Amino acid sequence: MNETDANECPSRFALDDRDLHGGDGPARASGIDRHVAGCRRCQLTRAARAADLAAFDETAPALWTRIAARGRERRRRRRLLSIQLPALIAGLGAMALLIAGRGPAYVGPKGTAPLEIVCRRAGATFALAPDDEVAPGDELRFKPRPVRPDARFIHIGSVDGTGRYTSFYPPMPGALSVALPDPGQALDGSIRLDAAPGPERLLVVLSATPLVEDAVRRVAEMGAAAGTIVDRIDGTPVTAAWIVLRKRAGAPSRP
Amino acid sequence: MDEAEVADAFKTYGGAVFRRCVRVLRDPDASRDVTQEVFVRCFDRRRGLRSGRELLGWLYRVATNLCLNALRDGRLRRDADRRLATALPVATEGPDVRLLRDVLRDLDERTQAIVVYVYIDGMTHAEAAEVAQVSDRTVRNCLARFQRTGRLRLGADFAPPQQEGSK
Repeated sequence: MNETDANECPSRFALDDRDLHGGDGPARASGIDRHVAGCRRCQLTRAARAADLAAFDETAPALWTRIAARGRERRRRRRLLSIQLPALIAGLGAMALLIAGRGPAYVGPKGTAPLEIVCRRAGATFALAPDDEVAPGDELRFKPRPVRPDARFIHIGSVDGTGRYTSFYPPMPGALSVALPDPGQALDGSIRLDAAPGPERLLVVLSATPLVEDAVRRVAEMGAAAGTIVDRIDGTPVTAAWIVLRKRAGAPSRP
Repeated sequence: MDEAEVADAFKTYGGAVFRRCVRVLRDPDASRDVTQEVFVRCFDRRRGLRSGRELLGWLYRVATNLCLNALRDGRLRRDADRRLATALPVATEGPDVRLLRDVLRDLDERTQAIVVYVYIDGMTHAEAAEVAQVSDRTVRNCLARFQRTGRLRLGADFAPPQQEGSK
């Protein structure tokens, strides 16, 4: 059997597409078929694929049962939320007024910051206050506060001095907000600040339903300079706060 | 898509998603968890999804994002580099894997995903652009950033896999 150059092998995506629904057009499909017929590597890939599928099929029914149960539960919650939303909004408004009347209890010069920030620097750990200075290499941990009773998700990102937005939670572009941890618990992991020029303008967004990172990024990039008040993102009601931290210039210290 | 169609989608694509997760995570149990999460999201978004290649691309994209999240998340976070390193050799038979890992660690999440598509999955630039829902130019820029970072930081040169139809 002639072995085709491995560099010409179709991707797994192309092989899956070919096997599952015929491929991306007849010409491409026949090209893949011709290649696989002469490529030992692709034949091995397909053989391994078949073995993997057999192993997966054994657990698939149980997995689908869990998926369907979770999917239905999430749908039920969304319906419940849509019914209760007007009352929740009214309650949240009242609570926001109450909290605003008490003055800011946490860091955050704009609005009521819905979380506490703990900074670790050179072995020392301390809480950050509004307008505190941070430095490259600082490790920040975030402990959400219960300022919004129906909040289930949180989104945290920062616009640095160059105007570049970096999403902290979730860490991936296009990903959804992360679930809030149990009350009093910090979010998993920490964020290590890079050497980008400051200030760091953190945008913290709490919501009842997850938000897409792209939508939060757009709001953050547009509103960072002015500290625009954000109460809705992509039509979803949110509780948001800007936290501005001055930043010392310099290279990151070693962790 | 209604619920029955999501069930059909799981039957059709579940194995492909699972194998795709194993390829990145190298952990069958974690891969099952991610596969479950992918289809729960499919369940959530079923009204906006259409079967076929478009759905396969969506599933690949969500699975990749969730796998990379899992690598950085909580219990897996400390092991992320090691796991990513063990994930990479599967498809990166050219570049030195340790160097590749070191460079990847310093890149943004979108670039990481693009690198995974091209170097681990062996996708063409066009396929990576289709799955990531970005332009070909963005794919080229991400790969150039990856290669530039490699040259600047380590003096390593990561030539992209030669591809049929590479742009």
